[in-house]
Amino acid sequence: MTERRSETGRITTETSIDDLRLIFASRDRIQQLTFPELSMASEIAYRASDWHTGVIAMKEAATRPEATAPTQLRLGRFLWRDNKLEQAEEVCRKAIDADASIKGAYALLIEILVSRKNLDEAIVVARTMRARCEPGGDPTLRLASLLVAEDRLDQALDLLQEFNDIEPPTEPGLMLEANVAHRLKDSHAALLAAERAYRLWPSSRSVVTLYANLLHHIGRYKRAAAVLEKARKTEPGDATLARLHSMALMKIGASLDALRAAITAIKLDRNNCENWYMAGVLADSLGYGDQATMMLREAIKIAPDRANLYITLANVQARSGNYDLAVELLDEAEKWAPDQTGIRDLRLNFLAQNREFNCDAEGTGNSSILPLPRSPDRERSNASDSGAIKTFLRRFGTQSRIIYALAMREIEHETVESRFGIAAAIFHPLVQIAAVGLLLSIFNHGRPPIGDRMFFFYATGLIPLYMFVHVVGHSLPQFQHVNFLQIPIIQRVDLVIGVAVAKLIIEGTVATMLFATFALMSYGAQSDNQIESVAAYLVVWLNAFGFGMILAVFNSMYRATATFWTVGQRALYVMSGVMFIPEHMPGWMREILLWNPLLQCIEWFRTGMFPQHVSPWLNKSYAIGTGFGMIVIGFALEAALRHKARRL
Amino acid sequence: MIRFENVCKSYRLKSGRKVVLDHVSIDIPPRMRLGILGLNGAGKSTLMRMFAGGELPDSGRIRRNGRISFPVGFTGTFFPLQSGRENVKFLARVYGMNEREVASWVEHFSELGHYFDMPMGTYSSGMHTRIAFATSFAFDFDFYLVDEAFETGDKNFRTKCAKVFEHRLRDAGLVLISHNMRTIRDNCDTGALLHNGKIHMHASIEETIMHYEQLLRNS
Repeated sequence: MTERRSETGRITTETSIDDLRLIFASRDRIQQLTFPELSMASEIAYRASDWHTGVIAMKEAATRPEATAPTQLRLGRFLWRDNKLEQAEEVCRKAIDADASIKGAYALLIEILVSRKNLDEAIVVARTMRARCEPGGDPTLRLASLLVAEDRLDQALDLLQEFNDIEPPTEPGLMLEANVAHRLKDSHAALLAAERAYRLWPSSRSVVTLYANLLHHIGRYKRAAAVLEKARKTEPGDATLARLHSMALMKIGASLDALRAAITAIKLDRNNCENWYMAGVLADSLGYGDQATMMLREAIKIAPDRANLYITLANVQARSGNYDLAVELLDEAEKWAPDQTGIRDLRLNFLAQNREFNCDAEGTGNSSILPLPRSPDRERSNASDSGAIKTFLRRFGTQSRIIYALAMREIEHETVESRFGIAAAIFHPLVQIAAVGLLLSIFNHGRPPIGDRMFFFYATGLIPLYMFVHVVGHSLPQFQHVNFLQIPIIQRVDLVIGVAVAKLIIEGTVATMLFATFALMSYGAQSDNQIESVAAYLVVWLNAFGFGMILAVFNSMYRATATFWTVGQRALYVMSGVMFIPEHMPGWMREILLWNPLLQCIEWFRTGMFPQHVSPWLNKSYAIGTGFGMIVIGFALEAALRHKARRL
Repeated sequence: MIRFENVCKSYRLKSGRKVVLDHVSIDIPPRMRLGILGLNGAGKSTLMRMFAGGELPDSGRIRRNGRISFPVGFTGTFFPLQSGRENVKFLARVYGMNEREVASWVEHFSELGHYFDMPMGTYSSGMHTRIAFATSFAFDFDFYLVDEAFETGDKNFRTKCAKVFEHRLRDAGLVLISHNMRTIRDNCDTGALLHNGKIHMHASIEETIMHYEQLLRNS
């Protein structure tokens, strides 16, 4: 019966709003309407947005016995729409009194209180609603947004954290929480909320953007880059994500990848000035001046009122020597940012540099300065014909040059204080040979174990020993020479090789001078097989170089290595057959000492110097093998343990 | 190009472990002028030594392409018993440059006169500074490393150095550590902040300075 409009004034779905207004003009006719008719009338009024008629209908309905809490709520909504906030609030409270779990009434009441700027009361209602009703955070969000608008950020954050922690979080809720925490400079809370949102909605563009921005803000660029990379895979057409990714990559130093991302951002959105600016800055930092200029000019076309674009472009131009253009660009920048005093300072700086640049006769900025020396490597490195062999040869050449320089320096070091130069190095072994000879002359009636010249015999032992001891002793502290290691082109191993080469030259010269003097004096054995001695001497050097490298590695890790070496080199006098030959040693001792490669080398050396000396225990292969073996071990240890060097 | 690949560096101190770099990966492309800022004790000088190769990382790799300078103004390689000329020649030999040309240039630029051929042990600190800077600029590098070295020497010499250095930097990159914001602003276009073992790269030097000042306020 209520489905059709009655001639007697009954209300149906087809009743027009004008008819309704006619009916509602008479108080008597309203009282005659049934409860369902009043409900129907409110719906017609709602559809026509006639809030006043709706209020009349629902007010009448609320007086009927059938009226419930939802009836009050509907009345409240009409009153709120009709801007009768006070009455609406009262009605909502009645609805809540009638049914404490009516969520809509709480939500409306919060809206009304917010509209009336009674935010404190709104917070209380929101908390009451959370305690009494089913989950759902829409009014809370609205309230929190309003608190944010009112700059009551602390309260907003408390409310949001409370609701997001207890109720199932929503994307807008967590986003708002992260934003509010960020505004309060609580990076930890902001990141927690954003991270939670990212876990729940990893493909949401707004969530990813916010999360990446927060990661960026707190300096976790690597994570930001990873998040954005993932997001870009799902949203490849999003220019903002590409630009953010570019920023994150730039921060972690991956400038080239950053430039690629920035160029992608440009392709996706050519009208965004930020994309061009980002790409321009990156191209400039990578040394692509022309591309940087082009990109920054595009950015200026889009946003001609941004001073920072002109300043960046001016810097690019100044670096290319275009100071006039740089100054013009700064003039333009100053028009848009007249308060930035830094622009004037920069302009003055460019003007000054321009003057120097123009009067630069020799390319040094000052005609009284000689032309700057230029490295031949620069031309070579610019050449593009670098095959593998050429690269190897170039590296080998560089390494040889460095070792040569270090060796020459070491030789100069050794000889700088003497008037006799390298010849002065002979005095030390001479004194030692004399001292040992005199000391041992009391044994065996002053007769040496081989030949009949005591000093000659001891020289054949001491000269190889000195080579060994000096090379090892000077190699030992090389890795501690941090000053040389401040020259990037010099590597740690170069220092040891340089010293070893220098010592080979010095000690070799000393040995040659000494034995040449003996020959000239016809003192000692006359042999035509000195080549054996030279070979033995070189093998001593090989062993010394290898052992020196090993000790240098250990010395860079343990201080005790130097003490070990100080004690060890004393023992070498006895253990290396300097004063005796293996033939005269006790059998058990000889068996042990023959494992000493230095003893083998000295024996080898003496076979070249004494034609009558035959050593049945000499093992040349063993001496050569230990030499190369120790070099290999030394290099391997250096490579493996270089990170463990102690700090000086 | 200088590339740090996942580089870690720390020291054991009595008070615990001091982390200088914590899994840092950065690229410094050619011709970049990078200013590095950081609070006292952040490890800037250690970082500079790592750029130069004097300090090795605990883990990770540092790759250097091109010629990297020794720290500008560095005097550690000078042997006091040798003359300025001999010391300069040694470096020229290391870098494969014409020894005579380099020595003449340094002699002329440093204005040391006959002292250039005297042992460096007889030099005053000002003379040391002059020869150290002259030597740094005499070499043609792809990257120059500077650790708080600009504020030394007399004004005229500083001006002369600035001109020559600017000329060198037309073809080279720069890694500069300084507490002087003006020096950083004048010489760098990109900045990085070393803090808590991380290097935070910024697009502009102003951003880095702002970040640094924020750190100073909070510290």
